[in-house]
Amino acid sequence: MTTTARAALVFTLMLLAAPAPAATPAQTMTPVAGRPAAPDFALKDADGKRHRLSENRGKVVLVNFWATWCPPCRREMPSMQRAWKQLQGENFEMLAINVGEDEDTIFGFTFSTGVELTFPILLDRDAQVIKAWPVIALPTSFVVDPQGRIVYRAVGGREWDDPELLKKIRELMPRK
Amino acid sequence: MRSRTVPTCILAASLAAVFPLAGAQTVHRVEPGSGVESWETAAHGVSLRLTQILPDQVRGFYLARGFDAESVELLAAGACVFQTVLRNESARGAIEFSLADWRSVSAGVERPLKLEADWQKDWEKRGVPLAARTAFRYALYPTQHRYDIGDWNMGMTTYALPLGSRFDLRFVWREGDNRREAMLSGVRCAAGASP
Repeated sequence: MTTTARAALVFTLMLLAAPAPAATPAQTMTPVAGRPAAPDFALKDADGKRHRLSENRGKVVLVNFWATWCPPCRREMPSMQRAWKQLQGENFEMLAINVGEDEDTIFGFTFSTGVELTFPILLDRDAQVIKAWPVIALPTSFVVDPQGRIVYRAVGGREWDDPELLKKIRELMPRK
Repeated sequence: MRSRTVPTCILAASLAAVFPLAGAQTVHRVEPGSGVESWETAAHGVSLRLTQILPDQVRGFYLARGFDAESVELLAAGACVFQTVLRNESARGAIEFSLADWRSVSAGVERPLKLEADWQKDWEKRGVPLAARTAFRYALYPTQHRYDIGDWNMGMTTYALPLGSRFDLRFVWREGDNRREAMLSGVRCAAGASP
């Protein structure tokens, strides 16, 4: 392994080990004024299956923009998986949109987490979808209501299985 | 003792009101294994942490994302690069910032940061591929953003200073109509070689 490759590996590990805040901050999402319509998209996942956002009307959708080299993105993934498991069987969908990377890179990352990620990971290879959304930094996540409107925004990583966040998501689900 | 303490507290409170930087202290840490240094402070419910990124780490990161070696050298050897974390932990409301307002201060001289838009001009001239430039865009700390309470992010900030330079960083944000600022003191750019 070259010095540069070794340094890159150390750097990645250092980023992953970057200290969390002394106390876990309250997990929050910001209501989005006016609940604008979520820009529609159709993207393939790592298995080649196409997912269209607008086909999820009637469900609450968590749309997450991320990349493998983004430490807060990587750190929040296990909590996304836990939230996904907790909300399975409810009117909920989770779409994690990877920005600008290929299947091999994503597979390498998911393998390294030690956690099986079972929610759809979509590929925005040419960063066209992210341009249509109000995203300035990664990760940024949005909660889309059953009518296809953006209700909440969260900039930076979150603990997605936090009870407060799950409560807010469930409150948007259509009553049975 | 008490008679001295009370006036001291009153004086400190007065100073804090007039000079918002008075209460902000910089905490300096050195990672035992790697020797990598970081600096952190908090004021008005907003915290900032800078952690050194070594030149070899910069090279490895950007070479893996499609940059050519010559272009990477502009960044790795020609600038100081820090992993940067800014959080709105408990401000009274949303905060807005622009890195264009931030200044490094060394030997009494204030300098602006080198921003993403400045670098992108270089990359375009040098023909860096679009995919690499896209990765660069999101790897750098956003130039402008609004953070509601609980929002935060991590990314790289860059400074057009020689490797090994020491500086203070004046960082600025707005909270409603109020302009806030604080100082991160004694920050040191990574040296050319690994510690």
